[in-house]
Amino acid sequence: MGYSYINSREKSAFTPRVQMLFIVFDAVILLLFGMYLFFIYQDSKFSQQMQDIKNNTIKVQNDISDLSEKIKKVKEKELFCEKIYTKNTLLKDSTKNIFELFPKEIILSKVILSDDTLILHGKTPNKQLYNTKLQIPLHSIYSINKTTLKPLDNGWYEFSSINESKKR
Amino acid sequence: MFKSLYTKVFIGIVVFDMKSKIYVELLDRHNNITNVIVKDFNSLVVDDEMYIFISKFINKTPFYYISVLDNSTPQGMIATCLEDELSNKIDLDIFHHTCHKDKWAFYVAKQDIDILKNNYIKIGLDFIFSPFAVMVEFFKDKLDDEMVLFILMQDDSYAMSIFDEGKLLYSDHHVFNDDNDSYKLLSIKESIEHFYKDLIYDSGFINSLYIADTTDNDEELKRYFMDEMFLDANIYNIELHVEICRLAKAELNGV
Repeated sequence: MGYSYINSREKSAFTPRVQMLFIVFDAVILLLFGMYLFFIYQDSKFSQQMQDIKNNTIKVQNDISDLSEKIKKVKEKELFCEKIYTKNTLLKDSTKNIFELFPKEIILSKVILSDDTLILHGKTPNKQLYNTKLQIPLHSIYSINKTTLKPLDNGWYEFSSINESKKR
Repeated sequence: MFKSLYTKVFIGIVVFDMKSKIYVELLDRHNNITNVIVKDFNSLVVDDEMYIFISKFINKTPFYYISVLDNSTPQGMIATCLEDELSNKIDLDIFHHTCHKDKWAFYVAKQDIDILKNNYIKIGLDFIFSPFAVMVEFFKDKLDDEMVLFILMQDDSYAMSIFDEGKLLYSDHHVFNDDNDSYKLLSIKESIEHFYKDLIYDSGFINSLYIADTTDNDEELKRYFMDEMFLDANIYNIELHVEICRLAKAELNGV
């Protein structure tokens, strides 16, 4: 209006008190927003960790399954090995028993030993020795005995014996 | 937007008789006056008592406006707002002026403005009003009358202006050196005679006289002007502290 020699000082509704209020308000909003972002980040992180744990669980379960399979196979192998070992032990014992069975006077030229069969080739000084010292024990072990004796020029006999056990 | 949430405080300070009269007007959010307080202080500057009193109000809202009436001398009115014409009347390096409605300018010494600002530096000032501004606003509906004399009469000074149909012809401001009433009236009479005699003024006979009076000498004034100058004085009592708050509102575009 042009009455005053000077102009009024600038007046602002944003007094220091109001400014402080806005600063506090802004700080609270910022803090809440920061917390919101933090929780979102943490949530995302936990979700990722949860997913990782799930994946690990699946992996461990698969590993357990694989290991179980391997253990099963190893057990099978162990069983197989034990069986082989037992069988070998039995075979060894059988072989030993068989060789102990032969009298010193009889000469073996060929022995074929399998699970149920024993095939012998050799020479004996006489039939009686063969029948008493070898045929009778073989007869007690194997249910089927087929023996052929062939005389040689020097008075000995060449024999061929096939002994079998009956399969169950 | 936020401004409307606050109340407003207008404070008018008028110095008189070695005292300060402080007028406080409290406005609500709808600019209705809710309270008015007037208090006199025995100080010409802002002392502790005055500071505590004013702080009580200005701390309530950022929208407070402190106005003061400048009674320093020399000051006056000039019937132009053009810098070239103003510079012929006053030294623009020494005087500060405020143009009003592109018609006339109020002027006062820059040094006196600085002194006032310094006196109120504790609380600051928003408006400094000339007694001429108060007078022009108070008699604004009579400015267009033919040859009219306006006087703003205070205990220790007067401001006078003569208008002819809205045209400013003459202005004078005088601080009384003597407290004698006769001396005061004689000073006014001499100023009017100066107007009549001086050829630089476009002199004519004064038809009417309006006095805004802050003193209690209504009857004496009326009789004096009738006896000495054959003028029928129209005397209005005026409260300057209220008027400068009114001017402050006008400056703020009619708050």
